[in-house]
Amino acid sequence: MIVTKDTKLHDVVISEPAIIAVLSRFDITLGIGDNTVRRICDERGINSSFFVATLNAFIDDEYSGNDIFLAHKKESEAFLHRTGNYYLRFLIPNVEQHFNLLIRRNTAVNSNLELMRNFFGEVKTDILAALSCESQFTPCNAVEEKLDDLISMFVIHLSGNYDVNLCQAVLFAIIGLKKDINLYNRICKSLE
Amino acid sequence: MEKVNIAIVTSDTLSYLGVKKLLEDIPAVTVCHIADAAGLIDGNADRFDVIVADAAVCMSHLQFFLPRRSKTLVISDKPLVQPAFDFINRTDSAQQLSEKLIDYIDKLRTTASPQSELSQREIEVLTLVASGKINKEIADALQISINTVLTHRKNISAKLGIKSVSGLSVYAMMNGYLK
Repeated sequence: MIVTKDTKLHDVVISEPAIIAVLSRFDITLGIGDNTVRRICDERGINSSFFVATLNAFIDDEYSGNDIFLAHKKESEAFLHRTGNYYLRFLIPNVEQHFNLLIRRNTAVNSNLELMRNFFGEVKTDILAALSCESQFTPCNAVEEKLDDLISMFVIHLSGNYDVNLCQAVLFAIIGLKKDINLYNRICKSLE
Repeated sequence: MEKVNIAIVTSDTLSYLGVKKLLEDIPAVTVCHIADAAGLIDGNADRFDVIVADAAVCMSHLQFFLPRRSKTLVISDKPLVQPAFDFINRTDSAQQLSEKLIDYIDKLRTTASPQSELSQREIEVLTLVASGKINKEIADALQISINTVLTHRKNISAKLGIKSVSGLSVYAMMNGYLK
């Protein structure tokens, strides 16, 4: 879907539920009512052009509104800053917690899961390194590639004993993080 | 599998020419003559989809051929002592031989290994990549060109869906290629 200022925001969330994570960085939480994007932005003092571009960039990898991020550099940098904090406070711990639970609940030893958790530890280190270059907002290119690799390990190569539901939970958490980092990288690159 | 690469391993020139002639009618097939089995054993085997070998060659290098029996077709004049191998009987008529070869290659095309399966050479490259070797070191260790190393790496990543060196290391450990 393509979001415009006249789109009802709840339609966006219903069509693309993962976008809730992005909305939370604009202090928009569930129970958003029946309002359009324009109205919600006006009420909350959010720049609607930047908001629409962010939502569209999250939804569509091919979205070509990157010039809007450069035109709204101040909003973009503030969003990237909030996004970095969001990774540290929510998305990364979310993956870790699910991973830890998956391994703890496993009745049989599955060393592959341990290896994959360690690999995620390496990804986390890369994210922290990229976020520490705060002044210039460095894209986490290697992180995207490694998260893709981790997704392939789950989807294609996973073997041995494991809790299917928890495994899916880890995978969804990783996919969510990867999609979010893709947005982060694109905004970073727009500002270069 | 589109194109089928076939090695005919025999020191008997007439056998080679005969099998080659029979294979001419089968589309998308390339044939290579290897007179001495040592030439095949020294690291060339994995570039061939089918190995057609003399019974004598096969039996004298059984340790090499047994793990590759699924792609080995033996030229014999009687059923083999080792029943694991498919064979073509050199005393059969030209038509029977031709049909046998067509059936064998058709079966191979339809039951070819999935794309995700790594070849022996790709496993060697993967293991070296995973142990931290750079392309030049891999090329030297395996006595192949850097371009060939790059091609192997590209194919490995395409088959596994894993691109990063650390991701490949994890995969190698998961599969016991790296301790």
